[in-house]
Amino acid sequence: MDAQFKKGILDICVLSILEKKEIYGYGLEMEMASLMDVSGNTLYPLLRRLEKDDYLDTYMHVSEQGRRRKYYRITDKGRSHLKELRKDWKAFKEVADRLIGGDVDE
Amino acid sequence: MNKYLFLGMLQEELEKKISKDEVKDIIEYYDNYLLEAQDYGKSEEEIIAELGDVKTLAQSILNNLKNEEDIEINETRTSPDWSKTIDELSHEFSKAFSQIGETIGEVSKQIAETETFKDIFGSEDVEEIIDAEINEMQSINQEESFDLDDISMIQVELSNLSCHIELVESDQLNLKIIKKPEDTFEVMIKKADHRLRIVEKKARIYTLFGNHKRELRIGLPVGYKGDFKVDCANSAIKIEGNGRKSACHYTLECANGYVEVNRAILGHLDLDCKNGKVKLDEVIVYRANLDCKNGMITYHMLPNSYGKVLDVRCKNGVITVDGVHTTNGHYQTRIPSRNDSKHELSVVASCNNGIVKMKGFE
Repeated sequence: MDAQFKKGILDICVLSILEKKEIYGYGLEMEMASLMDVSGNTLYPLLRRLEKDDYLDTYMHVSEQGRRRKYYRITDKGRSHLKELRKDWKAFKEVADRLIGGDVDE
Repeated sequence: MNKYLFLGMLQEELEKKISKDEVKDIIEYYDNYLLEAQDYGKSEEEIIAELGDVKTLAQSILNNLKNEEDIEINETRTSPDWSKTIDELSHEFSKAFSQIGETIGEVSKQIAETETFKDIFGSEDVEEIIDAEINEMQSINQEESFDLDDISMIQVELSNLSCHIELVESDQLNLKIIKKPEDTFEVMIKKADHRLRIVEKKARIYTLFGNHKRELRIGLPVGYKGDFKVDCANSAIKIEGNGRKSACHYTLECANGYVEVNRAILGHLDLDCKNGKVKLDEVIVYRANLDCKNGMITYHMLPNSYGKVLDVRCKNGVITVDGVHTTNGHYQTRIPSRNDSKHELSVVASCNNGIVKMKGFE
């Protein structure tokens, strides 16, 4: 898969997961790995960029067992960005469906 | 490969190419990552194996960072000074382990019951005994002292609970127990799943809890000359010497954890910190046996130190001793110390498959 294309998809995927729940890095990777090829070196740069862009933020949570975990959560800016990304994705998908599906006049 | 070596190697690889600030963030992420993976039933070794070759991982992180942010990557940066790397790692791990609470291993082993043991968790009716102890503790004001003449050994067994020991001056031979009224013993004890066992019933030691930082805090008077044993698996032991001298015999066990001793002159130290990290900073130990299999030992001696026996074992790990010089992975010799020709420093450093760095002596 093209790197830039995958990068855009990863943004939507990460923000979509975080829209549903707050989660820590490894958990996020597991969620994504069940759907697509994501390795242990992919998410850190992505999460870092999204955090720098204020699309997500982090906080430390201590479980009842005393386990400290760094959780990621989507911000309001992140939700707005996700909304835009979904629009773009929908528009892209419609065009792609028409092209790939053979609906375009040759 | 254990976590500490993995993170140390990753840090070394990354620092060849990007700034230390950038590296610090990445190391913190992967430190957390390895802990988080345990929630999914994976061991440290498994997840490190999944991450693959460290050099490849580092390069791929750098590629992804460049792709995401056009981060500046210096292709000609030289390899970092190991001693500096260890210092910085030490800071990182110190920070990490000060936030103890990670349940990553086995619960502390059982010790046979004897009449001299006061085991507040050993009874079948645990909660009742805990309540009784708590009620008794509530009656203690700010401090309570015990006659050290009655105590020949203090033994503390903890699991996932850090232990902070501070050497304190005391005119009388008393063991000082410091209490902070705001701490909530009951919540901590039941949640922490730890064991606290004290030899000699007169020596009561209790625990503190607050701000998510759980620890047993002990003010140990310098006049105490008995044995002092702490087993603190999966957690941290810290001795703050405040420049004082302590004649007691320390036995510290901290598997998978972190041990730090600062500014202290100790008589006899037996230390076992498998898979963990040890940092002795400005410390003199007259007789030290340090075992840190698969871990890291950093030992900065006090200047003008003298008369020591140092036995360091760190199989598959990294040893740095500041004050001694060697060039290979196994070191055994007797050499005079710098400023006192009457005393000799005996060093045995065994570090199979690891790295030994000692400096300061010719």
